[in-house]
Amino acid sequence: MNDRTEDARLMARVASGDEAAFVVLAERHVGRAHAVAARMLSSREDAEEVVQDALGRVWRHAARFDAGRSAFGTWFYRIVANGCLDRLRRKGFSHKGGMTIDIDDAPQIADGAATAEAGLVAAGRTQAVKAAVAALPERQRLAIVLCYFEEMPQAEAARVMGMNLKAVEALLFRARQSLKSGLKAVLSDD
Amino acid sequence: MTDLKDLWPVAPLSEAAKTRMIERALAAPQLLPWPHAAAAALERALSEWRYGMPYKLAAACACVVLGLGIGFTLAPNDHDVAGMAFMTATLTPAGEVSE
Repeated sequence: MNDRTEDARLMARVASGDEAAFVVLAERHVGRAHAVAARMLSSREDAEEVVQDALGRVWRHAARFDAGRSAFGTWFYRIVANGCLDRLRRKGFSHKGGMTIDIDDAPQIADGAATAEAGLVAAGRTQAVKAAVAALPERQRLAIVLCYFEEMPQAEAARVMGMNLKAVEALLFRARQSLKSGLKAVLSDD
Repeated sequence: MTDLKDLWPVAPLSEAAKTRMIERALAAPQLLPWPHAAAAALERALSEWRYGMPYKLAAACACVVLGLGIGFTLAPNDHDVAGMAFMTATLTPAGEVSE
């Protein structure tokens, strides 16, 4: 049984009030959803709130889900993506300046001068990538996060974003151009 | 470009956080599609007499008003011909002939 069929089967059970099925379904998707939200919002706390809200919506509106119209993953990641975009607009933040490194996301630095230095370099790179991605317009950021960080097929990302494939390709092209210029220094170190 | 993922790793969500999020999501009641919700509300209204009391009273008042209105409207409008003839004869002065 493929993932889509399994998700649809679980959602049918969730729609009839099966909490155990909801737990299984949430376990399957919550990690990836959190990674998407964390990269979109550059904040673990905000990401947790968005995913929490999305899970709540899935549970409350389970009866509205129509497996014939879309895969559960598409529906769920669209809720998460919309939640991220809403939060970005409501807060009006773009993190263009004053980026902070989340302590949980910072690379581990082992003992020893050489490894410590490598760790700092890696932390600097992470910071630069976060800043470059955060500086992108919302839709470009979402396209980059879904397609490059989460390695979602472009067609699937287009469905999540409610756009056609060409529009997503255009967003990715523009985002790549921006990232190339923003990360020139970081990428040239490799 | 795919190595971006390695350049910006995101720490996985802890099990405690997952559990907390799932429990909070489950704390809210599920919303049913309106036909199911209406059927459930009707079933409860029929089994619990106190449930939806304002609506029940409003429905009862509406029934009374409609019943009286329809009753008066559709009631046969009988004319008491003998009575009318008697009243006319009584009120008409002697010698005059009522038309």
